[in-house]
Amino acid sequence: MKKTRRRYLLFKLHREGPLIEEKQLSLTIWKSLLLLYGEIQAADSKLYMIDYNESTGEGILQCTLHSLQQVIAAAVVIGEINGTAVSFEPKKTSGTIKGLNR
Amino acid sequence: MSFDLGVLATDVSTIDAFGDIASKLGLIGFAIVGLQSEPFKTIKENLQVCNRVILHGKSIISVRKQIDKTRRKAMIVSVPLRSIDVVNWAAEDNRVDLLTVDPTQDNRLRDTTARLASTANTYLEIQIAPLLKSSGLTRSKILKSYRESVSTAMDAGMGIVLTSGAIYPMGLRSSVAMAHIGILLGMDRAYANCAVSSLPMSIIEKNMKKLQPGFVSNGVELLQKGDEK
Repeated sequence: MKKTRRRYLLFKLHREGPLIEEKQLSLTIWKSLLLLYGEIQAADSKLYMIDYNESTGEGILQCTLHSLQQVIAAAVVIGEINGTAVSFEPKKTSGTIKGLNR
Repeated sequence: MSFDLGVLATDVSTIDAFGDIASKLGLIGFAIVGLQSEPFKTIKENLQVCNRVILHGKSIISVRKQIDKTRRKAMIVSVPLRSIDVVNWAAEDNRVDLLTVDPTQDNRLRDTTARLASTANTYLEIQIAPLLKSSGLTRSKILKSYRESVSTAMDAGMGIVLTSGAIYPMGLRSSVAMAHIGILLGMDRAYANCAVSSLPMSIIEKNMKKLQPGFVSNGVELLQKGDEK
């Protein structure tokens, strides 16, 4: 099986209201990806939340190189999570987690 | 570095909240509809707020009357894409900056309008707020309307500007986020970056010159009055 190339996305979730849990955020991005691009694309994205700090809103998402643009677009069009207004800000993308911290 | 030309806040008290979020997202300013009297002012360090006017007239005569009254008071003047007569007139008029796509209406951007607009440097405005508020079939219809308009404008050489259309502060997006929405709407990466950063800045710079006291029209400037030595 051909190895898929991964990409890591450093992001910041701005919010106006209560804290957003990692599971809620991950599920909302997944649902948004599913709605916008369909079941096959969502499955092929191999989306995974590597890290997320609930208080600062900063985190790292992992996905395939092929689906990176779709994952970012799906996350950016999220307007609210459980009634809390949010604004997803993609900060940096890299092929390694180490690269995000440089 | 980007400037959001389409904030639709309804309350003056929210301007500071918009300013806070805009600073966090790296914006250098935003244009707000009808909540301030000056064409522009600086509310924070490196953050400007401009006045924007939307001309809602149904006939050319009423829009012309409105634009005569408002052009010198507003940094940005826009016309929604509705009646063909008004839109074609606005596309050719140098005083109008933006033609705004209204996804709730059936009126689409026509090839002829886009060609007129490309010669007069009138830009197509796409507001992302309806995409954030909707889902499913409704969002699919909005995407269809936006993608068709983007395609028509790009084919005709008409510039496109992406704005937030935000009515609350969290409706704002960073320039990188907006560029990704541009790609979602059918633009290539370079074009999307241009629609978010350089085009809005060029509109602001052009209109800053127009608002100078000595400005008469493009290329004509009052350098000295008769009684001055």
